[in-house]
Amino acid sequence: MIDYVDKIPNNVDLGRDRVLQRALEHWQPAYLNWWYDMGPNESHAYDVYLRTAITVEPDGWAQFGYVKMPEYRWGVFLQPRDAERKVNFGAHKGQPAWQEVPGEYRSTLRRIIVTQGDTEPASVEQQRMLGLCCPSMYDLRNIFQVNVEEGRHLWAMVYLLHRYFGRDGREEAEALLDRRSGDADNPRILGAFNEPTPDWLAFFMFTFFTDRDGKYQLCALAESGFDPLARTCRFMLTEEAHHMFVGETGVSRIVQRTCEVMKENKIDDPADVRAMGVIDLQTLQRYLNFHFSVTIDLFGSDASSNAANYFTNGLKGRFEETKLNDDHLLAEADYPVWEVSGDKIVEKRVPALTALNERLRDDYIREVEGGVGRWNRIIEKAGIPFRFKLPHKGFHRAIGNFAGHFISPEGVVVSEEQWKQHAREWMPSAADYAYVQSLMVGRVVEPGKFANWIAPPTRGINNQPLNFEYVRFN
Amino acid sequence: MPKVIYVSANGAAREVEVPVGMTVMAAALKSGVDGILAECGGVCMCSTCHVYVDEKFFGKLPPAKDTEEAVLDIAAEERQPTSRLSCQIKVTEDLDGLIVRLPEKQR
Repeated sequence: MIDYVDKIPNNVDLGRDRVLQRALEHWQPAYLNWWYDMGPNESHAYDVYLRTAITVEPDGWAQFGYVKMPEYRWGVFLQPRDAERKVNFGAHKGQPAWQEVPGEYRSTLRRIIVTQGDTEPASVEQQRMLGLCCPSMYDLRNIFQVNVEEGRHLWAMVYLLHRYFGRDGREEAEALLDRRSGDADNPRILGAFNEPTPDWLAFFMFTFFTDRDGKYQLCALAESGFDPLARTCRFMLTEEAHHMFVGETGVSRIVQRTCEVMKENKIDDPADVRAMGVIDLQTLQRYLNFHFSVTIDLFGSDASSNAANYFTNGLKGRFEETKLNDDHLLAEADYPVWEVSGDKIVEKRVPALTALNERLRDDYIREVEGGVGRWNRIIEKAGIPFRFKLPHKGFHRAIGNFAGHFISPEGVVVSEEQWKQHAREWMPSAADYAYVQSLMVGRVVEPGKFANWIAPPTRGINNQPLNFEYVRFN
Repeated sequence: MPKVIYVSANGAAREVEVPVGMTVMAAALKSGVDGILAECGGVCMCSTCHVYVDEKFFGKLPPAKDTEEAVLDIAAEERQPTSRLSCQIKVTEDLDGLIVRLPEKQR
């Protein structure tokens, strides 16, 4: 029997919901088994300085302290309910937001929740071996924080499945623990979540690019007319912010260190840079190209009837829907998408309703550009004549209008042969991965010490010093 | 009740009465001031409530803690000497008339 009040912090009155209790009594042990099997490798006895959400209030939810991760208090939190909240878009616009699942949208909503929920354990699985080669105790603590919060996000989605979808929901919740990232027979649902995260550069890129996709998906779902889903996603966003902080500052610190070494030694040839044991800017650009392109596939096809239906039915809105100044119906509006015509990329106006994936992708790209600009500021301040560039959104796409075409990072349609000729410049090669992997030998865990290839952060976690013992290995 | 003046990037000013103890961020959200997003909900994790505090008031604020300093480093608009996160500024009587300028973008 689970002691709900003590073990599962929540604001959903879990202690009084017998149906939910019975469902979670079954699921919680299975979840812990999954964590022991697929959570961070060899970490279960560590005491980790983690924050735990125990309320949704800004003053209360981020409680820091040492925790063994299997004993982490994975809670269930929804943003407080606004009794006046309405469905703010689509055919049901103006109706009171739904507190129960509308029967006609039951299977669609379940699919949306399962797809979102599936990404949460997937990323934990992808990252589970990285603790063995961490660049510092600070970084080790951060990846563990990201992992337990992805675990909490899984709990959040499973709560919705259990609470609102009956037997079907319980079966889906179990399946979330059965699929495995990269498994040939039972893979995770979305492609990017089956890609390996083989090294810390990939981890930082993932948390910068792919967790930010998660943010945009959560923002769109936080507009949902199904109020429990909206409130759940709204609170998940508060945690997602830290994950993106880890990604952006992680890459920043790598860029910083590389620039320091280039300046100190007056070198710019990638081979010379590698000889100094840091990651050359060209390799960073190729990692960027890969992670950006794989991530923007996650937004789906440029023109999508599913996306149109989600919107019209009030299930998934646009980014910051309520701040947009239009009719929130989009019946008459259009939106530009791009497609390949011969050897050109041409603009095509399509109904805005069908282009909602593309619109969300464009919103995302604008934000990503800001982060890349901040990395470039580091390089600029170092006086190095190199700048990162986001590749064209048609580059290396597997989904949508660009799938099956060969597009250069500059947005030029090229032949397959030309692509192959340039692949080594545009995408990380086996040699790049091998080089980065060669830097990840063993882990750096002496408090206050950092691997050679990454600069220390400017400050510690929760106002603690950099040499704080963020992880006790016991 | 103390007043806080939010000045948007285009110079438009908006005066808001803020209860003592409420943060400059929370007051902005409650009053519908554009330009403060607070994506992390006010727990000093995201930098989307970044403001430039008027120099007359900057010295009256308690210094930023390390966590705030770290998060300011990823602000969308480059930080300046008077940059602060508005989620970390609690309004006091002494801050009556506080002027904060909002950056052009927060993400």
